[in-house]
This record gives sequence, C-alpha cells and structure tokens, in this order.
Amino acid sequence: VSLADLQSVRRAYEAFNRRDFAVLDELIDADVEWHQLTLFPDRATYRGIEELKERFISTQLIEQFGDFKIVANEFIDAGDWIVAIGTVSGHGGSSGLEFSMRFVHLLEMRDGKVVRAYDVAGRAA
Amino acid sequence: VAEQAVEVVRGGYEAMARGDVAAFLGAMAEDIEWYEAEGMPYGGLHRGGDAIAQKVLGPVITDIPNFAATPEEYVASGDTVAVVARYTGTGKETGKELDLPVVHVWDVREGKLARFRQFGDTVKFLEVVPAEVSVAA
Repeated sequence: VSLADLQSVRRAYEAFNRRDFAVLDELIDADVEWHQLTLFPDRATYRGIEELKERFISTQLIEQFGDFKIVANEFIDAGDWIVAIGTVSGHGGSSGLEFSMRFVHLLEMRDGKVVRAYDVAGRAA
Repeated sequence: VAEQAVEVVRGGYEAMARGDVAAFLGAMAEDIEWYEAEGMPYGGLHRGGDAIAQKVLGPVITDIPNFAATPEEYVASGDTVAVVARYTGTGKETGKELDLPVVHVWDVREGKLARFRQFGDTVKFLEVVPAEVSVAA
C-alpha cells in the first residue's frame, strides 16, 4: 500500500474518536465487506458502508459504549493489506464497567479505499 | 475458553520452532481448513494435515531451510486467536533475507486447530522465494 493509504487509515482512527464520520465515507468503499471475527461487539459480517455505519458503528459501538475509543499504535504495510494493531476501550453501556481490549484490524485497500476488513478484538494473551 | 485456545495455538508455534512437525500436525483437527494467502507459492485452501504438510510446510522448509515463524502478540476472544507474527529465514535459491510481519487468525474447536487464515505481504515473500523457484511450483 502507499504511504498516503497508511496516513489516511491513521487519520480515520483519529477521526472516529472525534466522531467525525465524514472521514469514514472518504476512506471506506461503498461496497465494503466488514467481517467481525470475534464476539466483541458481535460476530457478524456487514456489507456496504451504510450497513456498517448504521448497524455496527452507530448501534453496536456508539449506542452501547458511548465513550468507545479506538487507538491504533502500530500500522503494518502488508502488500494490499494494512494491519492496524492497538487498544479499544470504553465503558459498557448497561454495566458501566470499564473495559480495554487489544484489536487487530486487517484492512484490504484498493484505489485508496478499504474494500474488505477482518476485525479481531480480545484479550492480550 | 480464550486461554485454552491460546495454549493450543501457542503449542503449535512452539512445536514448529523446535522442528516437531508431527506435534504441529497432531494439534490440528482432521478436517482443518488452512487458507494460505493467495499470491504465496503455497497459496489457496488446503484441507487436513496431510495436504498442509505436503503443500505448505514441506515446501516452505525446502525453499527456506532456516524458516521461522515467531509470534509477537496474541489476541484472543473465545475460540478465535489472532497472532501477529514475523517470518524470517533465507531463500535457498535467492540467498535473500526474509523479514516479514504477518497476521494469522486461528479458530480452535474442541481443543484442536480447526481453521487458519494467513495475511501478509505476499509480494515481499516472492522476492525471497519467487514462485518459479519454489518447490511448490
């Protein structure tokens, strides 16, 4: 991937934490396939940016975990893929309990956009 | 559950690190699905330990005799374990050094490795082991 791709992915994580979703529209392909491989927040596949934003980002993340934050501290250029590694944290919506988990995002880039993603979140082990 | 899954996955890397292929194969479910990244000389879906040994592990060790896959981080949730790892070694034909970060996503079922998915920069791997010089060709 290009340096520009790496930079725009880095900016997208920062924008997410500001809840600036316009950046996501620029970076994520309209026909994206987003595979949530682990149970947090729900094991599911989201197809298309509208479904991703409505069902995953708004309903699963923002509504359940209002202060949900995602900090990527490592980016790896893996050919057509960018691997982002970091920590997700927040407070459980109903329990209010604080949580923190490690994540690995595998983002497949085409023409500067994320066309496919695999998302793994869980405990560091 | 996550802790057990990590131990099964960790055991697999440790077995390979000491060259104990039999122990690695023994940790696999009979019908394991192994998705080697497309673009690798060994790319595609391989089912079962025999196919993995013949189509992936054997050829890799021939192409890169000192090949190592070293785990750097484990992220575990339920039966799924993601491993950030590093491939190192020297291409037998090219003499070039491999130093490649990769991600492996494992699914563990009933204490056995049931699915493997590999993500990495296959173009960089091909610089060290061009497809046409790989024994998998």
